[in-house]
Amino acid sequence: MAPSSLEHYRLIKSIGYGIATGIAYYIIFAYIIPYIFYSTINIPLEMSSPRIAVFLGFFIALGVAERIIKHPVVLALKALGKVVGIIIALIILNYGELHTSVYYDNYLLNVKLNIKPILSFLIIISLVYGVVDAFSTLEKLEENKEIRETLEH
Amino acid sequence: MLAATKYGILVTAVIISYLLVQPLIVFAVESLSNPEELKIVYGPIKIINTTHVELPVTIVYNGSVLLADFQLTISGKKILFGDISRGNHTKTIIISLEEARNITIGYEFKIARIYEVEINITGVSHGSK
Repeated sequence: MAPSSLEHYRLIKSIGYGIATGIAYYIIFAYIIPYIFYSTINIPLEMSSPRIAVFLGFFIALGVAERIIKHPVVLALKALGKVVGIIIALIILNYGELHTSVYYDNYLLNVKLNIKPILSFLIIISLVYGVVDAFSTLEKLEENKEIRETLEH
Repeated sequence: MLAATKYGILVTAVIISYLLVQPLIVFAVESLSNPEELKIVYGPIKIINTTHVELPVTIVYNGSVLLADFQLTISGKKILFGDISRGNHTKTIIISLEEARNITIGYEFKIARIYEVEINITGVSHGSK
């Protein structure tokens, strides 16, 4: 395979991987999590709305960019991706305050459930993971740079 | 080294998430499988004088998850039951006849001290929930 073809192959592979990851996140956030909440505690969540679609589109684009770009700027993209992911989760989970109304035996029950503790934990762990992942990416970029310099000499 | 740290964070996240979510799932499953899991029974009303009555309120809880800081609000009056585990928990309040005629109920508690739940019931008349 010619070097240019190899580059094209890598580029297409990265784009495909980025889109697949984005779609996987979309399925998890927009279908699986709301389904679990609705089937177990009967609380409907905002599954799909224009603002979620915009954020998800942005999230997928960032995922693709992260895969393609081999430059320290990727660290900023990764951080932005994490923030966008957190915003999507916050919107879908109504910032941790879930509401529902249930009719039971001629009574109307208005139920409010606060899931902020688990949501806060997931946000913190996601940020911690993001920081470690950023250092890991930086390490890889440094290694690649050293290999390139050695090959050039 | 960093790859190991990443896996370590992921494993820790999964374990802690499971521990945090487990009481909520157990409470939800028990509530759905048994509609009588948490029941509030009140009465019989005992007349004290021409304006006020004594109203015993019992929380009947059949679940396995601890409900912390259980607070019941009946016609605007707050009754603190504290931590509730499986069993019956009774308290008596004194309310006016006017309040007894038009009882409204609301309650709040924390599932396993983690998740705050607030429930307001409308359309309530005399009897049990």
